[in-house]
Amino acid sequence: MKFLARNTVKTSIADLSVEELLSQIIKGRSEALEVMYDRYAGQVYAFLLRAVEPELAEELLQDVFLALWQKAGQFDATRGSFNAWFFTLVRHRVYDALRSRQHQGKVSSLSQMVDEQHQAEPFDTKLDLEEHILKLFRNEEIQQALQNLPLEQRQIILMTYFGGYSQRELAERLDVPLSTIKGRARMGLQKLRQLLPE
Amino acid sequence: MDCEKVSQLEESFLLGELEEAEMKSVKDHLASCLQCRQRLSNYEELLGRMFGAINPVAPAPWLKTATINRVTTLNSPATVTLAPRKSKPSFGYLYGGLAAVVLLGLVIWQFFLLGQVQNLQGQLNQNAQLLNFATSANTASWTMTPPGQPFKPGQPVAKMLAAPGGNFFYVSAAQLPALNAGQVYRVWYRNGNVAVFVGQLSPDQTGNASLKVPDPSAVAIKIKSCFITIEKASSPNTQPSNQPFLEWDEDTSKSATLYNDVID
Repeated sequence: MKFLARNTVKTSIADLSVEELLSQIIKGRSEALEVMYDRYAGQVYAFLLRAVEPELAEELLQDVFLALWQKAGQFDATRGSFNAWFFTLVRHRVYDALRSRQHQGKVSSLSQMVDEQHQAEPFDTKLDLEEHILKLFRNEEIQQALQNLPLEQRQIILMTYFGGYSQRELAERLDVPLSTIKGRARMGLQKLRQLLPE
Repeated sequence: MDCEKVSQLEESFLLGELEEAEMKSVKDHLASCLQCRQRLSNYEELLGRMFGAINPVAPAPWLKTATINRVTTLNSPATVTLAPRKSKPSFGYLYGGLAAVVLLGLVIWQFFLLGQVQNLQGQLNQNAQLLNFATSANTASWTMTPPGQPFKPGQPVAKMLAAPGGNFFYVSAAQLPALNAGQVYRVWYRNGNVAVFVGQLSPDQTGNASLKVPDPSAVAIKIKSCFITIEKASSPNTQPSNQPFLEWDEDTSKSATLYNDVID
């Protein structure tokens, strides 16, 4: 059995690991990016649709993979997982895009886009939040961990990290000080870390 | 910047909300502080793990084409260097027949290659045309959703794109449920009270489908509504026989979204 496993020949680029695909991308092989797109576009797109309106989500989806193409060489597997690095890249693209649109006066706030055009769920009630979690995440362990967070911490983590809201806007929307939002976000992340040990 | 300041800014850092100068200061601190770096790295790992658990939503197929086209246009075109031809000694007339056969084979091969190159060129032109079309400032798009409902992630959605003076329009759909045997998705638009058949959508296993339709008289840009129905494959395509499954209507929706209203 060991012999067979050792001698399994990788016949297709689609079989390559993420690290191998990234090294192919660095060499300029666009087929490797296509494989990465096939693997991750669905999750990126699902995240973007929660954060911005559909037309902008389509544009950002392209931007994200363009950034992956250009920045693949910056990923360092010794410093963390690909998911952590890639999701940071995705989050930052979203906030850069929204901030740039704010500066151009196309929207007065990030949540204006979300509320008026995307009709995102406001997650103002416990029921909304629970429904949202079940829809957004397919992993029961993560669903369960989020359900175990206090409501206000859950709300802030979902609306900021997975909902396209800035902390300042959320503070205005919920009518609480910014420092409270930051404190709850920190507590929420700390508790989630305990609930989801590596 | 010290550890306390980094701690105050860490949520904004993770979100990417910080201004460039602050972001750089935090990164500089992290480069020299193992404790802060470890803490933030743990949060990034947690968020990355949650990202990996997101239920995927399949984007429309044209987005992949557009993305890969954008990437490949960044690359400089490959250049082919032809090696200098070496002169070969003559082997006399005995090899003349063989040379003629080889020459004939080369000529046929050249024609075959020419055909392949033309096909490839055609595909590239088509992709470039589609990309220009989808990202053109004047291209209008109509988003079709379940009747009476706004767009919601994870639900079926379709988009029709048309450009003023364009000679085709393009329909792309995602999340289409699999149909029973003998059923098909048909796309229509309304010209006054008359429904005009556009084409048939054939979703793949993930529910994605696309359709490029010739529009020589450029009528698509003027349409007042468009919709998709589920029909029996055997039924004539002169009129829809079922209610819309997805629709966009000027009376009930906002006017067509121009890309330059949305994209910088």
